[in-house]
Amino acid sequence: MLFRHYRSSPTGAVHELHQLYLYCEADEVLDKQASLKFSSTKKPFIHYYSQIMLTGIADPYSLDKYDVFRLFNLMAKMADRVTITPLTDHQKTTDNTTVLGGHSCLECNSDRSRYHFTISI
Amino acid sequence: MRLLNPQGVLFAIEQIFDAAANTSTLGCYNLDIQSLKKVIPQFNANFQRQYQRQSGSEERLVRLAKGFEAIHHSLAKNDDSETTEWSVCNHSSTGLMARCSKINLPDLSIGDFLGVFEADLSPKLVTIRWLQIDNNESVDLGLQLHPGNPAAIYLSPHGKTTETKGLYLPPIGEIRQAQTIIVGKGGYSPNRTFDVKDDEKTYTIVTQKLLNYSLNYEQFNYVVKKD
Repeated sequence: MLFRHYRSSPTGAVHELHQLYLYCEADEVLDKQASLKFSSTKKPFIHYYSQIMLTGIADPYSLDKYDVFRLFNLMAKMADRVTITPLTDHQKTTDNTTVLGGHSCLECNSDRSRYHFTISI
Repeated sequence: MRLLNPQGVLFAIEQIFDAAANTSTLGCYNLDIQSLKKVIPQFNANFQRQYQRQSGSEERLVRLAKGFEAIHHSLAKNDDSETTEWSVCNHSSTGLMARCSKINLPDLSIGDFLGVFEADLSPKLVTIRWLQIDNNESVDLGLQLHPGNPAAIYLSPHGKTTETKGLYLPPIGEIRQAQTIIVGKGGYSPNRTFDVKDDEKTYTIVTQKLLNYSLNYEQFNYVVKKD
């Protein structure tokens, strides 16, 4: 809904989402469905996290209002196709962005969804 | 920090494109295809800015008119009563980013057609390419410039007195574009003859191709009919 009205996410919301990702990753429950006494989630946390990150990467602020809904639903179908990994030591120290080109970087300590690594020409 | 690898998504999109090209599923994916075409460059993640953005050291103010009628009014009457004031955050040769408080703003959407009016500079036409409202109710717009300086004109079907409003854009040598006219939605049809009136003269044109359009305007080229 935020994207449909071209709104920024509430302050701190993306940061909180990243932090939840890190907790789930540390506890190795990213791909497990949460189950409570009376209800359970339909998908694991990693699915919803990936869907939201993919929607953010797709630059929803340049889409028509109703395209954003369609995009969000499409990203649900594709969320399980992404891989999210920590940066290796080599990737952290490399000056050559070609190694990282084509990936999006999730800054888990920030309140933004991503930035791109571009390929140096 | 984590790396998100979207290659699987690009592969899935490719599969949707293949399915859409299959005659047995023709038409099933049309809306998905239109949406995906817009977002593929983002997932490719190899976007590079082609035009350098420049930020001015002093605050630069512009007035924006939204919609065909307001732009025409501002140009024809030299009156800014139908415009709102925005500050320019940065600009390049192909566009600019403008910011304004949300209070009293007209409803804005991607693809809207705007006029840019700035002291001591010629008016320009722009289209909204992106739009974002932050948590302080400040609105940021990414605007793409239409080449050329517009002028207000009036068009009448040949031999009739009914007038509709139009915007004239002069020829642009750099992109080899001949002179064009922009009219409101539904104003264009091919091979129609119009009498055109501007500040100085009246002449007759025959419409040719539709070059651009959105929800609220149509841009076409034409030939001038000799008497």
